[in-house]
Amino acid sequence: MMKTEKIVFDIKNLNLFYGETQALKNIEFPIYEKEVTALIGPSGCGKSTFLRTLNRMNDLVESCKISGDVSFNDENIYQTGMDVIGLRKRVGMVFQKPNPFPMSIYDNIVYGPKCQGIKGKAELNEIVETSLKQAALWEEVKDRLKESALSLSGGQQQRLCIARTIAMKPEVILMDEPTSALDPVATAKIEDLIIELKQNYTIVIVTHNMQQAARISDRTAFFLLGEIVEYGDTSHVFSTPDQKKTEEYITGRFG
Amino acid sequence: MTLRQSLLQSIEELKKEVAAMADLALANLREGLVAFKTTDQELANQVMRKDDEVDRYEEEIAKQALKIIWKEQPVASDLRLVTGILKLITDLERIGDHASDIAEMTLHLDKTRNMRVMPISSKMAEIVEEMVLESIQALVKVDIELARKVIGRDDAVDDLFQQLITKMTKELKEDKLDPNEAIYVLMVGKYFERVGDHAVNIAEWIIFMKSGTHKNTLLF
Repeated sequence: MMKTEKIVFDIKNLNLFYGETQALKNIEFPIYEKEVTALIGPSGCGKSTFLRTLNRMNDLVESCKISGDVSFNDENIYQTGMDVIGLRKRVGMVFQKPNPFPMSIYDNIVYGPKCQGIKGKAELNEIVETSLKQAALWEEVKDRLKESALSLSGGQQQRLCIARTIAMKPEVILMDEPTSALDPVATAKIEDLIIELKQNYTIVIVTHNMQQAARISDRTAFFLLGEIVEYGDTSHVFSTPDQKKTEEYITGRFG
Repeated sequence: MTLRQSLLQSIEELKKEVAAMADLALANLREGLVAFKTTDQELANQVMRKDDEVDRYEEEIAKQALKIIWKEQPVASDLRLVTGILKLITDLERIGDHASDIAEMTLHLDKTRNMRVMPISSKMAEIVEEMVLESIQALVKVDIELARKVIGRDDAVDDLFQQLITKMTKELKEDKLDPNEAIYVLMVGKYFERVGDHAVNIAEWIIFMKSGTHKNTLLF
């Protein structure tokens, strides 16, 4: 399939500090529409911190200070007066540990839309069915939507969280190690789902699993000590990386 | 500390096995060429017997390479090395086969031979032996420049093969060459030409190991 090459996020000269500690240094690269961009690198290199800058989740950390530009569809998301709640609707997030609300499967999905003011039963039902189908969970739960979400397996809970994000009709889905708490079968289902989802959504995924990055992503950014060492087409990064440090990391010569 | 000791060790063992296979194929080729030049039928029989060993190396190396792939999921330079080796061992095995084929043709020749075609055959033999040696040296060092040199020499071998055909045709027309002898000398010439081609193939896979590009096409 031809890539559109439309830039959704354009990051320029991004620097981030937690107090005196600089966690991100001069980060600069684009994220393209309807692609999967993987962020890889050793623990503590800044990939999750970077991910959270894309929907301003770092605002919740008091000591966090940011400079530089993060543009989302040509709009600087750190400008004064930015509608942060609206941003987080358009840029959804899925976390490492599945975090369904302690309510029914149905209520998990409709919670966000109801907060947005949607009340009609038919419309809510349609949102539930569409979201769960897109998250490849509908067939497994359609006959027990009133059951507690906590009764689902770990893999199902994670797909529910993805469905919950999709229900808000985002443009981008951020995923922070979405499968690291899951077994291999559940992981494979989520990976298949991600490949399916990118037809409609832009996805940015942090992963410790390099084979996963190789399997599902279109582009890969390698982070090290808060900087980007290399960014490019995944096929290039994993076959003929430009940088020696990238080669050393992905071949496991250092961790 | 360098991690992935299991992968590193497996790769070192693989490289050693490939070097050993290459040395054996080259040794067989050299002996096959000597047997042909001197019409030494005893040596020819020895060369034919040793070909099984080259074949066994190919199988063993293929097994080791496949094990590295499923076990270690290599990427980048490790991936290019292992897959390059999987490809070029076929060419090493064919070089071994042709050494045996050359030896076998020698069994059909006798000492009273038309030596007027021999200078061309000998020159071909000399060049292809050097090409195989240089391709092995390039493999051990992953030396792209040496690999390119090997590729550049192939035209000379092809030209000499054409010269051999021309010379033999002339000798046959002038009734100076026994047709029975001609068949085997021509076949040996063709085997030399194929050995040159296999040395070129090895060189091309060495370039792939370094750059990911095979015959100017990026394979990733």
